[in-house]
Amino acid sequence: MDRTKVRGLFMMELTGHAPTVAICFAAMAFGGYVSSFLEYASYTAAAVSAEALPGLVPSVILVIMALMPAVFVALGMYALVSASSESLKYEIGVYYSQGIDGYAVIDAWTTLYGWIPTLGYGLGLVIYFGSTPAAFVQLQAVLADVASGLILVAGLPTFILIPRKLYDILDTSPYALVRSAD
Amino acid sequence: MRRPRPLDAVSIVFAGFIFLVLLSQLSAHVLGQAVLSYQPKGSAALTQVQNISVILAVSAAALGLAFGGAVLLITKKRLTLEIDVYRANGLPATSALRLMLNYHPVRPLEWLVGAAAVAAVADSVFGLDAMIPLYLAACFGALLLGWVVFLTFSMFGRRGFEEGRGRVG
Repeated sequence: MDRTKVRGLFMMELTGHAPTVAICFAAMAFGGYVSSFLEYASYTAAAVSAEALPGLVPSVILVIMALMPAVFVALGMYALVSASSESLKYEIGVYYSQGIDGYAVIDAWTTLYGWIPTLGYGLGLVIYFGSTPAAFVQLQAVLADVASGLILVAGLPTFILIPRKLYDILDTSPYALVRSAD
Repeated sequence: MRRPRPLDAVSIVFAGFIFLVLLSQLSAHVLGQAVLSYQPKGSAALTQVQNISVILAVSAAALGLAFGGAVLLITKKRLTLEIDVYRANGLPATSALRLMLNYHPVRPLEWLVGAAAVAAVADSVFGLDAMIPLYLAACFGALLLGWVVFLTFSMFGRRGFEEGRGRVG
């Protein structure tokens, strides 16, 4: 497909969805900040309770607590996409009538609701560790693991749940019917 | 098959966030019990775990309200169109409000009541004494009903459709 057309499509989508994308980005940045705060707090709690509490189960619970903000945010984003499904169905019909393939639109939406919010999540991590030198120093040895683990956990639901919902919207839109008739 | 309604998406946020807040409180409760059983004097660790749990629950509740509000804002256009149809047909504001309340918030409220009931049962079974999920459920309910009431009356406060049934003023 024509690259200019795809770029134009992305810019048009970015402008049209700017408020929703901004909400997702802000929420994900907040989620990243809260996640890193909890990671630090649970790391400290684990260090305190390590002597009192041997065993795997408490560690697993602490990890779950630290990862929950990412799950909260992915759930909220799923609901945002779900609430926009009517307008997305309309959009995909209009784009298809202009010769743009539905999967190119899905790629644009995945960027808007997947990559951009995940960048926001990373920004939240950076803001927390940048503004809390004590946490940075204490977690320095494991910081790369912590950050990559958190981003992975935030990214997985984002890149599985959201595209699944988007493909569901694509399949239930009139676009699927027209395409099957072609 | 039942046709999806604009406010259905908010049901996921309502039920999901209440369950996740409950789960975080349960995790902290289990961890706290384990700390106490291994070391009855491990109060420093216990306090820390409880603090984390409260922070997690409160921040999750704030996130839930933010997302719930965002979903309601997204559905504004569709709801206002519907209210406009009621206005154009000459219905008074109270009748339109009754129709809106009978039709739109039903499913989200069902999910909300279900999640709140599960939270209340878990509260009593596990002895959590955790009111945050229940307060969150009350806030979600108020947000949803408040939004529908606000939209209906703000649309009826606008100019237009004054000439009566089916005529644009």
